[in-house]
Amino acid sequence: MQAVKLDKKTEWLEKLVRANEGRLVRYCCRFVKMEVAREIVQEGFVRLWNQNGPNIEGREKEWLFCVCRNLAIDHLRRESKVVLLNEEGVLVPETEAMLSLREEASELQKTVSRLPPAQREVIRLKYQESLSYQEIAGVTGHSVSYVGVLIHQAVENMRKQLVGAAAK
Amino acid sequence: MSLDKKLLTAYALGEARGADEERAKVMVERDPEAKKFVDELRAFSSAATADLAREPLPGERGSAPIKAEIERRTKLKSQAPASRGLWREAAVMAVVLIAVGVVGHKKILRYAGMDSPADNNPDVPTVERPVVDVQTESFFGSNGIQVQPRSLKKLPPEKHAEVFNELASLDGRSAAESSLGRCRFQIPEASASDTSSEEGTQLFREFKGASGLLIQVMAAEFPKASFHVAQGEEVTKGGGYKLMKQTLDEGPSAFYHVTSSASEPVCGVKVLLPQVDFTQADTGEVREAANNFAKKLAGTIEVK
Repeated sequence: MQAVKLDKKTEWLEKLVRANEGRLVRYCCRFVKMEVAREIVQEGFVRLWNQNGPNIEGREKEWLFCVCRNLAIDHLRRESKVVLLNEEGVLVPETEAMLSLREEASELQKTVSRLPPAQREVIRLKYQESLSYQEIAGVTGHSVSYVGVLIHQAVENMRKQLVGAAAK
Repeated sequence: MSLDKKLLTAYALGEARGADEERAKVMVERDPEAKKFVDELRAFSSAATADLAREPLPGERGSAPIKAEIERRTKLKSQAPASRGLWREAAVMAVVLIAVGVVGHKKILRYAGMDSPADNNPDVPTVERPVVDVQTESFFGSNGIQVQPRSLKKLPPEKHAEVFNELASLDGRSAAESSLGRCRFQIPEASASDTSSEEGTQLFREFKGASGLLIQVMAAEFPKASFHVAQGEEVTKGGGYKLMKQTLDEGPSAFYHVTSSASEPVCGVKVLLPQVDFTQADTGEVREAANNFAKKLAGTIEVK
């Protein structure tokens, strides 16, 4: 009986790893170096495994993003990197690791990179990771309403920048 | 008429619900400008999603290393009780954490100060707020130390003085010289009337919802100590974290860590002892004292 349970849990973990590992590493690379991002994501999954109870059932993705984000912030603090936490969210620059992934970034991707950090983070979570406002709020600690404001501002910013670039 | 673009953005992205959704629908139906805004935004969003999705994903390692790590920690966990070295290691990491367990059932263990030195004495040195502790959960977790919630019965009253003495001695003083000697333990039932001071009442009220264990220590006698709070967000619902944070920000009065579980009426509790400034103290002695105290307190509290 125990073995069956364990098999199911392992299957559940593998499924989540397949669906989210790359995305989580990509997300964490915006805060920390690639190898650290990988460690963080591994730690996130180990913690997920150790989670008991149904309290995260159905929202594992949001939970993983949130935990990995917090671990990345913890790492930056340990490294004495400047991490400013305010109501706008986590203010950290995109790392070189991530930029190297985007040597041939499109105009839109460059536009996203130029957004203020809090807007950039929510827009990526929305468009790139397909999280809902509610989930983004869960990951970032913002209210759902504030997530709406940030996304609206980000979209407006991006459209203006793209129109400007096209006019040139 | 000016458009509510935030609402229309949410609507275009499928995020408007209930009354908001209805309102947006009406706007779109009646106002060509609103319709144009939504259509353009949907087209933009779809292009943005496609474009950002092309950004390469880092190579994946798959689940094998994760499973190996889980296995490694499970093994460590099963060996943990036999390994005394882990506690020492914890002290080296400058945090002493005691896992005492829990309280469900609406019992609260409290250190209530007869008076708060921080309130009454302007000369009480302010403890510098430490860099947020990042070593507790992850450190203990990664070293295979599992802090399991347990049911807490009570700390026998006859042990209280002993605990105070030990606490005081961490700072190199006797209890008589320490304001800790004027503190006392209380183990009240879940009623605000059980508290013995205004501050205690407030703390109690704050934590009642969390149904947890709170150990508050008036620690003004530890001018060299700083304090850690980790994972306090978990008690946000009860308003506890805010209070903890405020207390830590405003004065050297408390250290505690309470976690609550939404799925059970039982809370896991971890008590963080002061982190003595090892740069100023005889590190070996203080570490040893802190370590011994941690063990003693953990052993003193009677658990079911």
